[in-house]
Amino acid sequence: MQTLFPWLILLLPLAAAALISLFTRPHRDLSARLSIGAIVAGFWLTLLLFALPGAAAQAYETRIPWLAAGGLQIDFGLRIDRLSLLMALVVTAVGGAIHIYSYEYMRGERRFSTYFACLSLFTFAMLGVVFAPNFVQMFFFWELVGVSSYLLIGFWFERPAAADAGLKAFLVNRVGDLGFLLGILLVWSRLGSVHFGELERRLAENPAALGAMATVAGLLIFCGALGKSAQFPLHIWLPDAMEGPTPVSALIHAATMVAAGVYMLARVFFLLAATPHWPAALHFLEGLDALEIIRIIGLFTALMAGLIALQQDDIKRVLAYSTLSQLGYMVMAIGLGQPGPAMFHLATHAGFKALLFLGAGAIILALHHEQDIWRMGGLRRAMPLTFWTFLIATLALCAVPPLGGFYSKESILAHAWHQDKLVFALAWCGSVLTALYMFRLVLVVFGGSPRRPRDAQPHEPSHIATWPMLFLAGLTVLAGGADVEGFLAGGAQGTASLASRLAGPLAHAPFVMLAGLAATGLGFAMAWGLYRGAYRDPLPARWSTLASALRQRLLLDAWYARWIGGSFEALACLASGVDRWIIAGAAVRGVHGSVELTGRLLRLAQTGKVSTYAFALGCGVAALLYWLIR
Amino acid sequence: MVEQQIWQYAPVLILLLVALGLIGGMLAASAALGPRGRRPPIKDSAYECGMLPVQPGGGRFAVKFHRVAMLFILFDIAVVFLYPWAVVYREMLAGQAPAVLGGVLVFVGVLLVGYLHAVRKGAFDWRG
Amino acid sequence: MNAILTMPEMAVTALALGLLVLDLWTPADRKGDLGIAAIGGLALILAGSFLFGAGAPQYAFGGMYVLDGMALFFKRLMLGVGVVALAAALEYSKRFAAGTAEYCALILLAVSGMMWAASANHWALLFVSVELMTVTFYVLVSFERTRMPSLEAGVKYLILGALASAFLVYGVALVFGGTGTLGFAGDSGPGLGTGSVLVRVGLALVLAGLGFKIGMVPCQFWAPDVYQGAPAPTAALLAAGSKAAGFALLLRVLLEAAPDWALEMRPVLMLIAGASILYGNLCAIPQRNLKRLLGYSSIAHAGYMLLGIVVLERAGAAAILFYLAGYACAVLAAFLVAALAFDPGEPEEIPALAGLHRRSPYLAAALALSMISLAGIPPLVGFFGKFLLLKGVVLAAFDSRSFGWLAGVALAGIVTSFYYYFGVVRAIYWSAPAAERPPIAVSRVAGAALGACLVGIVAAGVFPSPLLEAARLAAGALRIP
Repeated sequence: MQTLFPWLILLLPLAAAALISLFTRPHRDLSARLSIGAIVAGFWLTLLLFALPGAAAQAYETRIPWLAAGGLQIDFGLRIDRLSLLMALVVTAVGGAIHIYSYEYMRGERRFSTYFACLSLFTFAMLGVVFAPNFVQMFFFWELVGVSSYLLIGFWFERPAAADAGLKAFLVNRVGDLGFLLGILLVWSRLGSVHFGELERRLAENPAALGAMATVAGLLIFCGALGKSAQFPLHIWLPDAMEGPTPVSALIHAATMVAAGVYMLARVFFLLAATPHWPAALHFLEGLDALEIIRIIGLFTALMAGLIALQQDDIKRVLAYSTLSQLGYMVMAIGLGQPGPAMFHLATHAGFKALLFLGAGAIILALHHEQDIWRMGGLRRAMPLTFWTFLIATLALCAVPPLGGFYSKESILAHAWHQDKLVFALAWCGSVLTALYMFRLVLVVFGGSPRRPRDAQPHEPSHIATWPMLFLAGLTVLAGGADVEGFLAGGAQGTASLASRLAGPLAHAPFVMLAGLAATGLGFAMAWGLYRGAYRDPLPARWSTLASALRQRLLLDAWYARWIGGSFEALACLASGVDRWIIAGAAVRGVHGSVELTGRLLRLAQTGKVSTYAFALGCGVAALLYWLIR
Repeated sequence: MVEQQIWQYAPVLILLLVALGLIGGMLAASAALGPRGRRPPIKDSAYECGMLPVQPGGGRFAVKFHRVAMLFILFDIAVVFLYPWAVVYREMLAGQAPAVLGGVLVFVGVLLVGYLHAVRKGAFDWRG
Repeated sequence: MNAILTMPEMAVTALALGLLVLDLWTPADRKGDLGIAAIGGLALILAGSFLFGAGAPQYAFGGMYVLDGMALFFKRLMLGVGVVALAAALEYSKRFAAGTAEYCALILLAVSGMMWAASANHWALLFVSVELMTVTFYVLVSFERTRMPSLEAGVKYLILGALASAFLVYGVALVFGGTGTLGFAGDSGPGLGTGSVLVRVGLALVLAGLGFKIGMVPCQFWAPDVYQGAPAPTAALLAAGSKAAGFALLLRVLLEAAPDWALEMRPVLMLIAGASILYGNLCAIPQRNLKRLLGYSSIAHAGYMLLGIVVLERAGAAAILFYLAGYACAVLAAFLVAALAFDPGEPEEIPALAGLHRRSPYLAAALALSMISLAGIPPLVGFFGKFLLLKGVVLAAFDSRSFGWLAGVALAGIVTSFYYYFGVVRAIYWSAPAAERPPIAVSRVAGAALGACLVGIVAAGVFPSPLLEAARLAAGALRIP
């Protein structure tokens, strides 16, 4: 059972994807049922694994040998421990809800079955990352996650923006993955293994085993998370990825895939925490350790994304920047040396952010694909259920007790307070921003009076779509009671009473808790003052420079497009220039010039393209010979 | 020793120089002796025993001439390879009879296939 | 006399001659059957090659010819490539007015040249086998006599090929002049030394001649023009077969015959590898023609494979063998699609691929998979090959900084290549076609050949062990002094 269940959890979505794409594509309903059935079964099996006596107590692996050649021994296996079980539960629970919601949301889609096949493929890949026991397998599924996300972002490929966004996401991720791959190679060459358990054992035996490359290896591996979890400076793909269908945004670009980077960091935390050490060439960086850099990047992303979110008008983009910001908090928690709170926040965030996206999807459907928040307004009465679930999720995101988000965020803030007051102060500012942009969203979308054409009559989606929203709302409310940190730390469940846990933040760090609540209150008050009953955004009128910078996403995207895209173009031009001017031009003309002096014979032979090639070949060989006998 | 080796190639160098000198000399001579001054077209036309040229030189030939010429060269060169074989045939017959006989049979067999192909495809058909 | 060892080559040659003879008495409407017979015969020879075990090296013709693990690996690879190329030729030759059988026979002769090259242990056999290939390719490239680009490519290949052959034969002559022997030293004596200037210069000329075959800088200029102009099956054979034969010879010459010289030349080889990677990838970016793009990318792939040579170790050689097999699968699939997806006479423009997934989902998926594998994305075979090649360089980088630079250049090249490979994938799936075009019917033979390539791409990527083990065994047969 303990070995069979994880395999089933992993392989059921793959089977569903294969069956749909091979056989049941013409039968829309059957395809969707297969896909939904696979992930729901995975959810129940994961719950069963939790419930099985002893299953969650200690880590174990099940594996089949896959590649054994020389010094390279790689198994295909599954690692089941508290971390992977928690993540699998998040993926299957949130994913299951979103699968069901998709059934309603994508109803009119022509390629309905294909959509579900992609969704199942993604689920398979994501669970592969979760259960991976070694770097190579993780990298495999890591890439597969990237490919399936590429397919889903570009699902509406008829829209050029969607196709571009898919490509952008893919290319940006590749940059991060390249660092990841280098990091894996480095760790492997230094420690002689890619297996997480084995690596941890070897590092424990000999903490200096990574030698001078310890910090570099940690940072290279962090590069992978930089891409997947969309941290600065590789964050630019995530807002564009909102071109995909809304359930996809909820599943991949809010709840699960983007969290994979944080999960990976938690998984290999022992590598990041290795004694800092730089190679001689980078000696000037001595004293800076990997976690510190991770902390700074996380914090910076959290603040930057929070600021940009203030001035976005597209409902999905606001949520996307909010996701970036929350991922920044998680990465910052890793950087503080606290994978437990990071995973806790990941779990609660997955629930409430998915809920926010589902609510946004319901609104977008109701308003016939209108995404501009300034054309919504007054939806509170038209869509009460969506309003209340959206509000619950917003409160959770703003860390209002006793919702799940409150406990996870307070835990991160408390650790920041204990370690670094400056980090805490900045993170606190981030909390103010969070409350401000979220309540802006709620007030503009649901409050005020309708700002849309008269004939539009928005209404709630059908039951198939509202059930997943209610389910996620329930999770969000109840998540605070889960002792995720204690569970991950390996303590027996239920040692602390529920009441003492719920009052935990007040007991352990009352100042932090009060400060956090004050931040939320401040943000809410600012939003209330600025946006209650507003018909258009008052900020551009007051602080036009700041607002326009924020609207243009701090000019980062334009800068990237100009410099990175431009340098690619320049390189291509350079190459074709070399081909056309230097080789065809200078070589031929140069030959012409010299031939005028030496005689007519050569000139006759040196016209036309072939001769250019031959000439270049000859030059190359001459250079070769010169090098030999110089 | 390297010096010596390189000196062995002195004849090659001389050959190279002679070849270059010949070409350069021909070019120089034609430039020096060739037509100078005014060059009306009539001066540049081909000289055909006092007759006026009927058509420009370098006209088109029927491709069958090339075909026959190519086939001639192919089989001609192939026969050249039989000479060294004939020289060592008697010597090798004693010890390596299968090699010396089998080898040439394969060689002639391949040629035969080529000949058959040429015949059946009508390469020798003068009217084609 | 171990002439029996040469059975596979002899059989392929005999098959080619037999095809020519049979063609003479075959009515015009049955020519396709000849192609099927050639495919069957070659497949049979491929199966028969497994009768030979990869034991100790065996010699024939007084040591001119060697049959060892590496030769066997290459022969099987080339026979497989030949089968797929024949399938493509059978499909493609429907556009020819006549000459199906001749085209197939020429492909067979080229394959036999490649197989001789795999076993060359003697400078004379090296030259003759290279010439058998090259001369055959002169005809194969310009086979579409009525299409100008094909003729142009033929002329370019002829002239540059002749130049490269001249370098090669001159180099062989110098080496012979310097050593007084035409055999590779192998395990019978020390490798060709660094002493004599004649030998060193000769080896450099040989490197240039073989560099033409693999398409490395500075002998790479022909590749894009010829790949673009040649008939697609010819280009496939050039990319998958001719390149493999070049690497077989290069491995023998550099690692077996002249290891000291290779060590001396290592900086130059590294420079060539880096330059090939950069040149191929950068020039490929603005390309719009699929076959031209593959031509530039083949230069880059030659550069990647040279990474396995510069480490001068068995592991590097094994990585090259693995990579060659994976590259062959991917590039054959790409050219097969190029042969099928375009109308006769239509230039193989990438934008014309728009909507391919509606015209033929199979071809679209095949081309996409092949591009993804060439880009080196897991879990396809291209990823694992690049991984192995890079591994050697990255490990060497701990000792020498220049290897670090080389690894950096290679990585930069790989990243650059995503841009144009995914441009193709994007054109297939995400571009709106200019006009609705009819679906493409894929014949059973071509479909099966394409399927074999795809199985190779996926299977060797997901389960690399068997192929990797075979490559390691084959590289183990290299007699590195």
